[in-house]
Amino acid sequence: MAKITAYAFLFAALLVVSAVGEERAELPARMRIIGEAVSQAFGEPAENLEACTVAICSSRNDPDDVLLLGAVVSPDGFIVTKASDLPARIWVAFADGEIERAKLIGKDRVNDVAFLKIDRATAEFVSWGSTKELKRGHWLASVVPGDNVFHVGVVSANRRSLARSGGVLGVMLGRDGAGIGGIMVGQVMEQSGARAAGLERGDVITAINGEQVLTTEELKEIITSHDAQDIVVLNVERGVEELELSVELGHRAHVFERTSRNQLMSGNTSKRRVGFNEIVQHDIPLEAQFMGGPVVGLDGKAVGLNIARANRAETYLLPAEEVLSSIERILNGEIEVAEGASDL
Amino acid sequence: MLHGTLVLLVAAVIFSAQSSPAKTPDARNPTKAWEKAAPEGVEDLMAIQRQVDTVWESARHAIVGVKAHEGEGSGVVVSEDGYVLTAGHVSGEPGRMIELYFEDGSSVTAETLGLASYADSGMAKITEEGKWPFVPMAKANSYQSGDWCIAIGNPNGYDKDRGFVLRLGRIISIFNYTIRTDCKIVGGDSGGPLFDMDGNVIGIHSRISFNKEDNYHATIEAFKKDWNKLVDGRELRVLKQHRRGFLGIEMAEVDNGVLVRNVVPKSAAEVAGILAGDIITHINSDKVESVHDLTIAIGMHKPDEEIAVKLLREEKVEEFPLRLGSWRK
Repeated sequence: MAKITAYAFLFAALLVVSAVGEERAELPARMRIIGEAVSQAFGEPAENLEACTVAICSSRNDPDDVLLLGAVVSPDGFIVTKASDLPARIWVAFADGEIERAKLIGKDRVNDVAFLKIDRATAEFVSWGSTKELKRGHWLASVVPGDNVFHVGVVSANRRSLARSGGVLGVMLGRDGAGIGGIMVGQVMEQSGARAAGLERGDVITAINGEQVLTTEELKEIITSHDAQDIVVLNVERGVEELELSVELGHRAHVFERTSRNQLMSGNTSKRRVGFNEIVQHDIPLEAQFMGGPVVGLDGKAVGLNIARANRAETYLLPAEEVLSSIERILNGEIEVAEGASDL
Repeated sequence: MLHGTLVLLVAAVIFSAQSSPAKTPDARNPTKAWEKAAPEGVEDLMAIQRQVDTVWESARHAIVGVKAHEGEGSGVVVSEDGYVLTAGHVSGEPGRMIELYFEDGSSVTAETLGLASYADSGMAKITEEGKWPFVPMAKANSYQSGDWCIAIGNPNGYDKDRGFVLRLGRIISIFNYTIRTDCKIVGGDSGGPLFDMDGNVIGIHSRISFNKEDNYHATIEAFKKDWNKLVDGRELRVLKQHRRGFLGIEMAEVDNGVLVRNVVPKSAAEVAGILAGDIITHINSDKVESVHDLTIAIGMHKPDEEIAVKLLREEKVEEFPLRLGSWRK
């Protein structure tokens, strides 16, 4: 009679069937796309990738508390990284365990790139490639310090620019107009500059940066002309009190992410993930703290810098050509002044 | 513990070990890089990369973004006259009009057809006459764990600049009309196609968990099994456990159907005359190939509904009409 692949039970258990069924022929972790087997195949082109990737920390004592990664770009200690997540004091940890204080040369706001310098020669540095031919399905690899595998994935979508979206206060706005003398604040989002500055539900915003505002449209127009991390000054009426609050604007996708199911399913994502001249989207799963490092293709050349983690399926790299023009803008002084540039 | 009997029945479940015979003639003597257990170097990765490009070029014009009533999803055209596969939770209620977007931004109207809740399969049909670009569906059971696969979709809604989004991964496991892969998908991908390395549709994106390796796709078999019903616009919904009809048998899977190991005394099965040793092959016109199939087929019926159980008894086909019982008794 027929072979019995027997699991026997009474009619109840659809769920139990599921549980049993799933144990069949599961692909071992090392064979999956982020497993050791695929990583090994990338060994040759990604040979010096680890040596060219540095971890950025805020303290010399805590090199495991990685805030960002960076790419070593020259033999004399120049490093590029993502600007908006940089700590005030910058320490750079190398794969060989050495840790150095870095000086911030400047930031390019256009592409969210920062240029750093350490006082040390760097034997390994990235060799930039051309990215014009990059298209869907092309293999890419990055490293995460301490992991013994390359993190691999493929190009996912058309190369494109991502328009800036302007900063946000991080509040829902309610009634407005002459009747109440401004704009009423509704819900204040948890991870917002408005919350940090002490803005409360029911407050009435009457002016921003010294300019009187009566309608939501007027307020929005001024706010979106500023970028995230800019500071605006609000005049606020709270009952009989009049307050002046300085609010650091946030990134829209970050501040409102708890209202989005996709973001909730994605874990830790980058605050700034829009406003780049050009990006290449790929599917390497990397947490936001591992942005800023180099990405190589199968020819071993660096195709760019990981610049933003958007959600569980989408990471953006800034193409090599854009990284180089950012560096050029910084060296030409077309930059945001490196305020309080850290002394060595 | 509302249903004492039910809890007891579940507790009495006995499992025995199961075999999972490998069926990989190709894996022993692979000719293609993506048929190897793992790529062995840059050459293999290059070959995979070229093949992904081939699949993308053959598929891109048949993929659609779906604007339905509940939000945006994805889909894929699988016939020249415009049948579209998507997820049941994207197409939703049958007989409604939805908007489909092709890669170039052109849009067409489609009517939603049927759906099956157990697999999250759903279909639609382009209402306009025309010859539509389409992709082939894979032959049944033509894929297995470890196979490379390509997920394409429309995450977070249609974006012409971005185009459809491609991810590469491997099949982690296959069970109950579901493929699990490490192709990382996200909201809006739902309904989009999962391709094998030859460009055949093997699944449709359905659901995820917080784990990045938990990406679930309805299998192409789920669509083929219910094809006529889906085209007819039927909603195939498996009822909640306590609302289902109760047949009353203990089962085991065999090659040609589901073996009745024991019959619960006084159950619908016993009253109808079903005996231990019978092999059930159909419930009404639905073929039963697994315990899961039988569970689904019964799970769509309420207590007191009449069904026909077709079975093999001593190698002869017999049919038993019966009225389902209730879990509460």
